[in-house]
Amino acid sequence: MDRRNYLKSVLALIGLGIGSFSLVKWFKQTTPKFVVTNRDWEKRRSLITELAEVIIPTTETPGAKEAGVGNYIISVMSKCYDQSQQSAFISGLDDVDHFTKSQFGRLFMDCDASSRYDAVQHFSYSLVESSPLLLKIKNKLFGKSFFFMLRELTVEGYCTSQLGSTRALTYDPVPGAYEACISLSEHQTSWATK
Amino acid sequence: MYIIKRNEQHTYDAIVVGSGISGGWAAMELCKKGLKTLLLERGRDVTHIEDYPTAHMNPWDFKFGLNNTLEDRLANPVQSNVYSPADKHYYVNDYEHPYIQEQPFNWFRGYQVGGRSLTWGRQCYRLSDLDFEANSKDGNGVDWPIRYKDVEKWYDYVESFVGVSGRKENLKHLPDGQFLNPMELNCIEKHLGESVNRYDTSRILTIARIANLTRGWHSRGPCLSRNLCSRGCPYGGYFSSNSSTIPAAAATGNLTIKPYSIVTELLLDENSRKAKGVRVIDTISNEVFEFRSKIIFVNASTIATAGILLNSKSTRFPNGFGNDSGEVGHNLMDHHSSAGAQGQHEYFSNLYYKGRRPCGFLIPRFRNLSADENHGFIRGYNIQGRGERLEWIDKSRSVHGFGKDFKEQVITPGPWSVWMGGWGECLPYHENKVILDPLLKDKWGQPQLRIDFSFKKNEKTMMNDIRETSGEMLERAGFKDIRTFIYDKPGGSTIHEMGTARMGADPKTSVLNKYNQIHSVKNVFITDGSCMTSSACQSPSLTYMALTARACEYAFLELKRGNL
Repeated sequence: MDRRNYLKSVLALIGLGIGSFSLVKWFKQTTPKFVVTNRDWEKRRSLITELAEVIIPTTETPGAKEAGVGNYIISVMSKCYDQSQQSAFISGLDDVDHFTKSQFGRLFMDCDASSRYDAVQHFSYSLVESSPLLLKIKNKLFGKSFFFMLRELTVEGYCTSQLGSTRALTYDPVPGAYEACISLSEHQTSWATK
Repeated sequence: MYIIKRNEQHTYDAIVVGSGISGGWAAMELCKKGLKTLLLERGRDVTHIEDYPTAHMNPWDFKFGLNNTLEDRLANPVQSNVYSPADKHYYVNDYEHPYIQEQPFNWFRGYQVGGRSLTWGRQCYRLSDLDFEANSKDGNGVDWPIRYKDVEKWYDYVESFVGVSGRKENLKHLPDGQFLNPMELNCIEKHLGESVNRYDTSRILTIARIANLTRGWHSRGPCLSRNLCSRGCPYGGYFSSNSSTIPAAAATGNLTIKPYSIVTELLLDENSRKAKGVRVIDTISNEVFEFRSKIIFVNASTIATAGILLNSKSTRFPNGFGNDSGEVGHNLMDHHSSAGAQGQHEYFSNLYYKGRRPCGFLIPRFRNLSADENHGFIRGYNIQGRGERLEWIDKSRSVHGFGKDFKEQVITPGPWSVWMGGWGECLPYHENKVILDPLLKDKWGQPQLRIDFSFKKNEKTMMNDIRETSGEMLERAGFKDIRTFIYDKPGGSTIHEMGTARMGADPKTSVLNKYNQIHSVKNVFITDGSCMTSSACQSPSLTYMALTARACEYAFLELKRGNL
C-alpha cells in the first residue's frame, strides 16, 4: 500500500471514529467495568458454545460445539486476556441477549436457528471489514471488538482442536521430505499446522 | 546428582564456560584433541531427545493453544515475547534473572545445557571480505585482525560437521559452503525470485542456508519437515549442542559437564599473569568452588561474557579481566530485523505444498557492494522471507462473515502470500554497552547487568530503504494488497548480540587478538558473539563456530609448544 492510500485509510478511520465510535464508548471498552470471575464465565458457557457453533457450524465435518470450542474460548479468555478485554467480552455476550430479547422476545439460547443466525449477523455487521488495515488500526486504537475476539477465538479453538485438525483440516504430524509444489486436489483442505 | 563434591577433581586441562552453540564446539574440539575438559553451564541439564517434553505434542494438547497466559506474560515480560507454551522451558524466568534496561532491550536467554542452540534460527551464512574489511574502509570501529582466507577452511570444517543445506550461488560477498542438498523453493518464491532477478541482475533469491539436514548426517536426521525445531528435535533434524557437539565431546571420554554452575569470575595468577581458573557458584547448594585449568574458553554469550570479565577484578585488572583497552562491554551490536513488506498473489491457486519447511528464502545483500553506491547509509542487509498460502490463522481476521461459507473458506488454502524482512548490519558504537550495576545484585549476590543500547541514524535510514525496496520487489512481481512496515522492535530482538570483547590487532583498542586470545592473558580465549569486531548482516552463529574451532586448534598447538 502506498502512502496516499495509507493516509486515506487513516482519514477514513478518523471519520469513522467520529461517526460511530465515540470517545465515551472507547473509554467504556478499554476500562474494565467490573471484575470478571469464573462464575461469570460459567454462567455463559452454553451461550459461548452456541455462538461458536453459529460461526463454525456442523456440516459434513464437525462443528465448533462438538470440537469443544466453547471450553477453549473460556480457558483462553479467562487466562490469557486482561480484565478490560474480559469485561468487554462479557458485555458483548450480554449485548447478544439484549438484542435477541428486544428483537425476538427471548434469550439467545431460547432462539431458534434462524433467529440465532440473525443475531450473529447483527453483531458481525458491527465489525469494520472493508479493509484489513482499517480493522488493524481500529483494533489497535479501540481494542478488539467483542465479535472480532469471538470469531478469532472460535477459529483458533476449532482449528487447533483434535476434531478440527484431523477431520476438517489435514493434520500431518510427521510429513517427511518437504514437497515444494504439488497440485491442489479437489476438496483438499488446508494443513492444520504451519 | 549435580552437587559438586568437595573431594572431586577440581583441575582440568581446559575449562569451557557456557554450553551454547560456541561453547559446545569448544568442548568438542578440545576433548577430541585429548584435553580433559570441564564444561560449565549455569542452567539445568537438557539431554538430547529425553528432555524435549513438548516435541510430540499435538496442537490440542496445549490447554491455551500457543497463547501465553496473562500471569505468565506479567511474570516474564521479556522472554514471553519470544516463547510460547511449546518452548517456554528453554527460556529463563525474567524475575529470577533480572537485568536493567537503560533503553528498551530484549535480552532473550536460555540457561540450560545447549543454551540457545536449542531454539536458534539455524541460518548459516559465511562472512566475506566485504565484511572483514568494512570497518577499515569506512572508519567505524576497529579493523578486523583477520580476513576471509583466515577462516575459510574453518567454515568448511564446521559446516561439514553441522550439516548445512543450501544452494551454491557463486557470490563473492556471500561465499558458498560445504552444502547438503538444498531445500526447495515453492512456486511463489520462485516467481518472486525470477522477477527480482529480471529487474536487477545483481539480486538473486535463494533458499535459506540452514542447519537442517536434507539427508542423514553423522547419525542425525534427516529433517522431517515438522517445523517444530524450537521444541528440540527428537529426530536430530537440526544442529544443536545437545544433538551434536556435546554427545561427540562426551564420546571421547574427556568431557566433564557440570550444569547448575554459575561462573562468577576468572581467576588471575598475579605472578604468571595467566588465568589459573574460575570461581563457580553451585546453584543447588549455593556453595562456591574454584576450578583450575591450563586454558579457559569463555562462551557465556555476548552480554554474559562481558559481565564475567567486568566482574573479574584484580590488582592487575582493576577494570575487569583483560580490560586494558576499556572496550570490554562496549560496542554491543544486534542486527535489526524490523523493516520489510508483505503481500498476496493471485497466481498458482491450483498449487500447494506438502510438509512444513523449517526455513524460508534469502535475498543476499545487494546494497553497497561497491564503494560508489550512495543510498544514504553504509553497509547493508539481506532479506529473509517466506512464501506460503494464507491459512486459517490469517483468515480468522481477514475473511468476512460467519457460518457455512465462512467455515469452508477458513479450512481451505487461501491466496499465496510472501512476508519478507531485512536483516541489517548494526555499526559498532562505543556508547552501546553493558556495564555492571554498582548497586543491584541478583539472587546469588552477583552484580546485575545494565544494558544501554539503541539503533542510530545509519540503521534507521537502512530500515527505510529495506521497507521501500521490499515493497517495490513485491509490486514488480505482481503482488497485491502489499503492506510495508517498520516494526518498532527494541535492540536484542533479533537475538544476535555481538561485540562486547572485540577482536583487533591493537591491544589498546581491542580485547582479543586474531586468535580470539585475550591480548594480555594468553591462556584465555573468547569465541562467542562478544568477539565480533563488526556485525555484518549475516546470521552470525556459523562464524562463532568457525572461529571457535580455529581458536581451539591454535590453543592446543600453543599449549603443546609450552606457550600457555
